[in-house]
Amino acid sequence: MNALDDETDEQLVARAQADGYDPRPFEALIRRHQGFVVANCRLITRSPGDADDLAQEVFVKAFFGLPRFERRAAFRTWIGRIKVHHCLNHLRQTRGAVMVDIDTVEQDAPGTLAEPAVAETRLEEADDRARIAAVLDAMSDTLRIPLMLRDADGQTYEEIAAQLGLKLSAVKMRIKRGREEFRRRYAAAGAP
Amino acid sequence: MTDQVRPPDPEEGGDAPLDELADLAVPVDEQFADRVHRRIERRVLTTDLVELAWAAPLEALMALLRAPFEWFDRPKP
Repeated sequence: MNALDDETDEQLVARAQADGYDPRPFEALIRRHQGFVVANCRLITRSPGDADDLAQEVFVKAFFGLPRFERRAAFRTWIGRIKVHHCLNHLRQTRGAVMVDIDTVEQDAPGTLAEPAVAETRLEEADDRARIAAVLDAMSDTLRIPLMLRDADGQTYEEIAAQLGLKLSAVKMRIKRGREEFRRRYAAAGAP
Repeated sequence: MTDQVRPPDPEEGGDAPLDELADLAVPVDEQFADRVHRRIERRVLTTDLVELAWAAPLEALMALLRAPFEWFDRPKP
């Protein structure tokens, strides 16, 4: 805990932009947002092993992009966008494609309907945060990613459509279905 | 914890956003910021070395090209 921890994000960003040689304001921003960025990287990519590495790279990109950050959005929103770009690029590189046809996914998605026992076992053992992660893990990319971008990152439907290369109507439908599926699975998992 | 304001969305209809996802965060080990800092330092060092790798030969070439002119321009005894 130090004096910088009491400052707002805006103040820390202003300090970091004013003096690029002083790493402390940016480190304070990292400490403040690292949990959110790591959690989202993990849940978007469904890859716990890569989440820490991806999150570090997100902050590195943010550091080098900081001089161009015009502070029209909150720092958290801005770094959220960097994170989404980075995670989607990671998925494209590792899986070849992020979004595929919704009907194909729902037939083939592992863990959605094909392996309920595995998902349920995990859900019973988990605490609330782990339960949310387990529910999201059990969802297909097609529903999980738009849902995360909307409800975890607060992106607009238009932004999500542009990032995922989907029509606006498709994004809205997937988010709606994603919420329904999440609520159903979360309730089934014994959520309070 | 954050200054994020979730944007109101008139298109939500009756389908409210999931509050469970709004402030998801996981505990991160204390060395995380140090690891980011080390990555940044490595990146800066790499950039400096690449710039040097381009600049040094160019500087040497320019000095070589200037040498004959400087030799002719210098005052004769």
